[in-house]
Amino acid sequence: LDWLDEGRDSAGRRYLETRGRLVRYFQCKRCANADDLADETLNRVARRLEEAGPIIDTPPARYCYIVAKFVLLEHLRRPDQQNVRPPSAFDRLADSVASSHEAIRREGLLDCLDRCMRALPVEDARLILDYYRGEQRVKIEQRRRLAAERQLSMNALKIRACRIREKLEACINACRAERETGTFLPVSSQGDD
Amino acid sequence: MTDVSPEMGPAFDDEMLVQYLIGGLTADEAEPLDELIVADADFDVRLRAVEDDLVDAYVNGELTGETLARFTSHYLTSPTGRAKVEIAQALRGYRLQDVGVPASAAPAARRAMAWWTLAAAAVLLLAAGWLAIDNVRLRGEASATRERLATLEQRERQLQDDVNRQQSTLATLSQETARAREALAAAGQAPTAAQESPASGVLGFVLLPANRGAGDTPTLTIPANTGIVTMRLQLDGDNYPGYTVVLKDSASDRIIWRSDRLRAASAGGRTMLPVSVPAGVLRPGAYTARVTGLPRRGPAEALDPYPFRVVLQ
Repeated sequence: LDWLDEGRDSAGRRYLETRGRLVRYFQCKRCANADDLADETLNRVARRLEEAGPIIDTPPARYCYIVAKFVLLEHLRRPDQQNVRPPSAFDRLADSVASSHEAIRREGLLDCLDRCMRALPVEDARLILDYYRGEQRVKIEQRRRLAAERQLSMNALKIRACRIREKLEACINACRAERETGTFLPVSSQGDD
Repeated sequence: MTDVSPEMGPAFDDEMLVQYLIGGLTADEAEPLDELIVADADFDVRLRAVEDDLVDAYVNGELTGETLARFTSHYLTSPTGRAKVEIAQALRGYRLQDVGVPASAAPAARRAMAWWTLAAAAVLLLAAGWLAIDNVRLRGEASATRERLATLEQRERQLQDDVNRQQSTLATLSQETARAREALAAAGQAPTAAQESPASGVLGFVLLPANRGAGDTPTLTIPANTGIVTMRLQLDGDNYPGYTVVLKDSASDRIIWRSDRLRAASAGGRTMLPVSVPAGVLRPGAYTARVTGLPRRGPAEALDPYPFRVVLQ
């Protein structure tokens, strides 16, 4: 963690951010088990640090990327690798069977969306609803108005909306994953930013 | 998806990021972006923003051509991509339904929508039920109409049978009447046929063979205005395909008239050979009609003679 923080104590936040970006990297490479591969990458980095001490000639993030590339290549060479592949006839059949439950799934998704929206601060909920409203030119005009109202640059507004949406999507995915067990309780986001 | 952020990495424009997300870059082109995802937090946020707009554009139906094709064949084959699209679809519907409504009120709004949907479904169900009942009623009426029609058709057939039977009875009565008249003629009484149509110029008589006569020679009374005298010669059976008749003056034994080939006909259970003779050849006196049977093969055969007398009025 110290090596990742580069001398500034982030209380683990830097580690989580790095892990998140590794997950994102493996997702962009269409790996089905992106979380596992991200953990494997960080484990290898930790072992390297234990064995050889701090790496000083390469920035931590870049080093993590280099290790991640090897992890990816090894993963792709494995015969049992579970990367995303084009859907087969069996997949399409499975999809058609699954589509019979589509209404139930959609209802579950909408419930999760409700719950996660309520978990957001009201201002964030309004922002994300307004920011993604409209199509094409209407959407652009809407975003300019929102930025002006909040005295933000367009890019600052974009970052803020993107992070709210990321949080919302993470909440929804967790809700959907845990919905069957009935254990999902979205944490109130008051002071959670 | 066209604005480029100096704060979030100006090296790549948004279009290139879109191509990266939908698998439109080569490995060499993608390599620096791969690294930036892991190494540059700002770039990662920017890529997420582009991805959000890309997914929204797909959900809104704004993608076209190669971009849409690659999005479908590459991005949507990833579980992560599909999950983002599902959430974007839900969020879009949420926005459309709940714009201006506090987030906490959204479930209530959807519940209200659900109640309206249920109410509409109930109305439709009632309407469908009423239509089904009405359909059954109409089917019943149609069935009853078909039954009434069948009854009427059966009644029509019965009436037609009655008409046929009455016509048959009438025909039988007519035949019996004809037989009665023939019997009277055979008994040598005044020919009743002469009274049928005196003004028509045609007279009709029934003659029996000499061997079955009552003894007296029948007399034919011919009115002055008669043109044709029709004699029906009663045969013992229709034993020949053809017949000829000659009339002989009994006093001189001279043939006064000869027929063409004739055919017998059945009437009232009897076989008759109709013979039409011009009234002008007949004078008052005694005559004999001689009938010859013409077999299919072999010589003609002479049958019993039919003697009669003629009286002119």
